[in-house]
Amino acid sequence: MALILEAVSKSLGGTPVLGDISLRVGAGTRTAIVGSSGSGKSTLLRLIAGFDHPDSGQISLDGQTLAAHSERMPAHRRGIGYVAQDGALFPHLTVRQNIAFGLHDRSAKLDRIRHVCDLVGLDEAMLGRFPDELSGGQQQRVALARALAPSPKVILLDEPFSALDTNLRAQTRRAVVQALDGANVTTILVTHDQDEALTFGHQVGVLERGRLVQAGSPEEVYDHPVDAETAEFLGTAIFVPVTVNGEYADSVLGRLRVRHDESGGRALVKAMIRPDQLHVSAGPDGTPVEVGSVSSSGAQTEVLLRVAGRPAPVELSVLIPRHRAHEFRPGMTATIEVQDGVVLYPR
Amino acid sequence: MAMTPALQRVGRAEGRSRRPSLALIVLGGAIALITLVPVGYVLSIAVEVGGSQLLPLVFRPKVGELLVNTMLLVAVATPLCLAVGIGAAWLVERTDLPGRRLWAVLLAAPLAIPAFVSSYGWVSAISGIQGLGGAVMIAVFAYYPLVYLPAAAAIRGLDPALEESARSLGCSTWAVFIRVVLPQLRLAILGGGLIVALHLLAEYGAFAMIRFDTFTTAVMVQYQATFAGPAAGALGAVLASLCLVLLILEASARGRARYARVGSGAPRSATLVRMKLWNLPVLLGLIALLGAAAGVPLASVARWLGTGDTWAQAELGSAVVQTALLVSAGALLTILIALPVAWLSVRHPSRLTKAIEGATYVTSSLPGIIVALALVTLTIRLIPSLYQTPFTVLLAYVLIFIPRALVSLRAGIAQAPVGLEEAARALGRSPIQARMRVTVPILVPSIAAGAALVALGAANELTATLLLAPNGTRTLATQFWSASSSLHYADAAPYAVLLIALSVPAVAIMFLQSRKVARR
Repeated sequence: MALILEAVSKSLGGTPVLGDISLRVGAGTRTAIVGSSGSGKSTLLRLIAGFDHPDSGQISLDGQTLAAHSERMPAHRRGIGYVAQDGALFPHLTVRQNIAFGLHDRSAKLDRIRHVCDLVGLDEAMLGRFPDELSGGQQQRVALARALAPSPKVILLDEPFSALDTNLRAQTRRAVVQALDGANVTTILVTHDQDEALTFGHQVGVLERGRLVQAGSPEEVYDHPVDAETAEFLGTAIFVPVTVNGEYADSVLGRLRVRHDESGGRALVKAMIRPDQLHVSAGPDGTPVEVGSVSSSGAQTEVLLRVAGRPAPVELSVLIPRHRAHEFRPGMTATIEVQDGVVLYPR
Repeated sequence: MAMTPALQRVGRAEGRSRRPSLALIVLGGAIALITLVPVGYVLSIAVEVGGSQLLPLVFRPKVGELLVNTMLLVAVATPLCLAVGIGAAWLVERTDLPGRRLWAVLLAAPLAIPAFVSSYGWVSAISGIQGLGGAVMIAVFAYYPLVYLPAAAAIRGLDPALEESARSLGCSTWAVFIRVVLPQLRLAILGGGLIVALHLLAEYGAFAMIRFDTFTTAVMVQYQATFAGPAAGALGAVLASLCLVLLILEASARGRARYARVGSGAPRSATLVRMKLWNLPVLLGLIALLGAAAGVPLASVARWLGTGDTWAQAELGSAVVQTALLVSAGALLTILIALPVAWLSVRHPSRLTKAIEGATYVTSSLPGIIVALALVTLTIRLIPSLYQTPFTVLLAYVLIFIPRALVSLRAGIAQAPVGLEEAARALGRSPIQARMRVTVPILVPSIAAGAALVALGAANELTATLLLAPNGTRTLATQFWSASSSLHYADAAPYAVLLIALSVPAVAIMFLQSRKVARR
């Protein structure tokens, strides 16, 4: 049983926003949808929540149709929780009243409030406060607690951490994941932050200009993006031109093992390498490279490498642990190896 | 990727602004039409009376004299109000003046004394007050708070970092004020100047009391002599044109100017200018200002109250009851009409909503007497049964005071974004339940504030009430007026007290609203 979207499309004001989205979210799992701003992320959540309705395609939850053709279940009957970007806490109600808003059973109310506060790590001293007396992180916790309180089958999170500063973001995210695991609820998070998407979900979907170009486990989409654009969007990617030679590809970095081929048999091909695949050493194994500069940035040291290439030299930046920094000096010759193979794309 | 057509990007906001229902649009359009009645009236005078008849009515020595009087009054009193209002705002917001928090409240207080009560206070204390000098004096003391409140809010919203940068570039305190603070206050200055000028054009009681003739007093005299004839209409058309010219001047001077804080991070609180030796003269000046603006009128009222059994007038009780009834009905009607306009403009902004707001803005900028003349003419010609009925008075209150309601309601609706209703629906509430449990409770305080502002404004309204109310209607303002204009100063005093007491909550609300805007 799961949340299933089939060929969902949506236009707003005559402009297509989402096209042919199909997605399956397993019960109790977390899915992160990542896309740049304007890619249609929020619209996707609004269709699932029932605030908007798809033009075509259907959405179902546990075998029950939520939206198909003219059949539309209103938002308040779907049992789908929604946490907005800014939390959308009711300013005229206290934290307690906010959390209790979706609860109907009076007798169990107090227990339930206490339980969800516990889940999201919210101090019960906050219950009497009004939303404007809370910090950003606390507001998001209250918003999540409020959404969890009626025990929804699904929770939708619309960039819930983007308003928080970096430190608070990671901390709040951990708390939220913990709470979601504790509540065993199916979750969809949309975000523009790749790292957030890759660390949050069991499944990551990549949304580009209204189309779901890829969905899979975080490792799968990071290591094997469907195209070069997605590869770059999901994290730093180094592209080097290669000539394909069976299971191998030859480049300025030497002979590389081909892990996946997405080049479609084109003549001009490039290989994608993640920075963590590069292994630099002062030893003799690998392709020789010239060390340009060595600069410390906290716990890590950045080494700039120049590889002699045919049209022009290729420059690479590699991060190494600081304790290895003494191995490299500007001007010396080092060697580089590419580990774990590469993915090929058309050039 | 090349095979799939790229879908266009659409911002979040566009997804949210759904089309309003047809009923709401029709309602909005109808309201816009009603608000345009006074403007239509002014235009119809020009068309109906015709140039050949209108020109001699307009271009005669009497009109020239009125024009000179009115223009001089606006030209002299407006800059003085700006100087006093902005100066007071700067002292309260940016200097270490002793007791500046108290001064911040006290300087707004004269707003609670209606201009015609203030005029009565001065004239009954010093009977020699008259002419342009007297009019300017009374106008400045009565209207400088109209500049002071928005200027203080604007100064509070300035980023002190700009002033600090100017100082580090070698500017003195005075140079910083002239070169950095003042230019950023341009919008507040223009807006405040416009409000003062419109008040000067519209005021009847305060200037009639000291026998200073302006267009408004002349229209009133003409109306009393010849009813809504062409003469009153022609004068009214000139008066309305003056107002429209002011509106256009202000709008074009404002241009596309926007002064926003650039850069990130919260603005810090300003470093206060140290007054040192200036403290004493400035404090004395402020005490003199407050004494003239509030002290003299209040002392006069108190003196007349003490002259006998002034509270024993028979009409006092019925005036209180009638005012309460008229004013609360006016507030209710205004809120009912303003609510769809505010809702449309916040939830479904479009060209239509801009047009409706523009119509309400222009009409409410016209003097009450023009609105009254328009309604007199309209009811007599089209629906005579509505002439001099409470309904017509209420309609005048709506047209004159709707912006007060709009300001409050818009702020309230903006605090209840659609996202909150959606959150309620995701928590299992139907759309109607969501609106009733979330949006309405959030709106209640701003409805109350808007209604109070309208009601209290209407309680002080004189000209439209005099023209439109059924015979025998007694409100606090008309009773005060009939007593004081027939020189029964003692009889007028209890009404003055009640009018001032009624205005205090309105001023408190305006004061708090101006603080809130600045905090955002």
